[in-house]
Amino acid sequence: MKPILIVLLALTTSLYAQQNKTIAAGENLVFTASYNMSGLLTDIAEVTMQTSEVKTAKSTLLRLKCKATTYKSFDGFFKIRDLYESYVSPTTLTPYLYKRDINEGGYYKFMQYKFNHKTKTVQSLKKKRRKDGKFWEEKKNLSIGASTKDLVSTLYHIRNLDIHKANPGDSQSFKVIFDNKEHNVVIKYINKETINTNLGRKECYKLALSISNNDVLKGSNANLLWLTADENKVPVYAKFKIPVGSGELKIKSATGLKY
Amino acid sequence: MRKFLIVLGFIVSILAVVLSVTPLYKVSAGPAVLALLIGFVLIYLSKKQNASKKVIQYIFLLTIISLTVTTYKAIFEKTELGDTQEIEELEKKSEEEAIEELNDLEID
Repeated sequence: MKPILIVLLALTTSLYAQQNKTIAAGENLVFTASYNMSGLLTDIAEVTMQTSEVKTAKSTLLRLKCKATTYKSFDGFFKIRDLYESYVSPTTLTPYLYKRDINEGGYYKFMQYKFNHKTKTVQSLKKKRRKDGKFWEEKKNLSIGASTKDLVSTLYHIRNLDIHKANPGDSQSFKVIFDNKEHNVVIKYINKETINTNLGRKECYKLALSISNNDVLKGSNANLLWLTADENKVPVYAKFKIPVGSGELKIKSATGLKY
Repeated sequence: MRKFLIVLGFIVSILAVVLSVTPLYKVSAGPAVLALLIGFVLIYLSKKQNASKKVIQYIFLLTIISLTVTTYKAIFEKTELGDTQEIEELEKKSEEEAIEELNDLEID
């Protein structure tokens, strides 16, 4: 009897852990992205993270949208207009459709993933612009793991973790599909830290992010994320190190939060 | 030595002016400070060798131009977003297309 109870308890706990307790529709987070040039931080773009409700013929989903837009002064230099979207279940944050439309300094790329969680497959569509201005596309069927998510839903999923139950040094890995490949993203809880933000002085969970077998993020403990140590777990500050330098993201405003 | 510093001073001060008019204007502070230092060393050397200081004035002039532009931009330039109409239209279009795609998908 006792083992059955333990299994039941473990199952209910794991199911409960998957439930979305943090993200609500109507949330709008605005960030300023700065790039480190010779030790001087220069504001280059505005990043927004928005959530909204989307009604389809069969169900109601949550649209998670991340947008990056360079400031006017940078547009002539290197114009960025990136749009990342994920359509997820509002109760479990399970992704069904992911879209990535990037336009960076004349380089254009579009990626779309249609998730089928029953068959554990992803229907991928890639579109790119050739030098002559014509588009070419590539369709693929990919096999994924049971818990594989896209980049955007993973970002929101991190906010939904029970960090208050974790101890400093604890880590968790996630499977993320990006550029038609599955990557292992490891999140390590470092400690609690109180920092000054545009939202005021906030006690935060300091997390370190790393991607195994990938060079997108450089260094160990060089890519850090600060989430407010409250129920909203708002990302207020992030530091990143990429192959072409380093930079940071600072929160500008946060509206429509759940709590 | 003096000639080498004059050439170096010119290169660094021109670099500072060029950088100050780009969006990376904050970076121009480095070459501008370096150009100022070279200028002071050149004044010292010119006094010691009793040589003309006229050419050094141009290095200072260029450096002052770059520092003025940088300071002006740092104080008065607003960090405002560029043209967002295109991406806003894309957002709407993308959502409409996504709804169509989602209607065909199997959602638990």
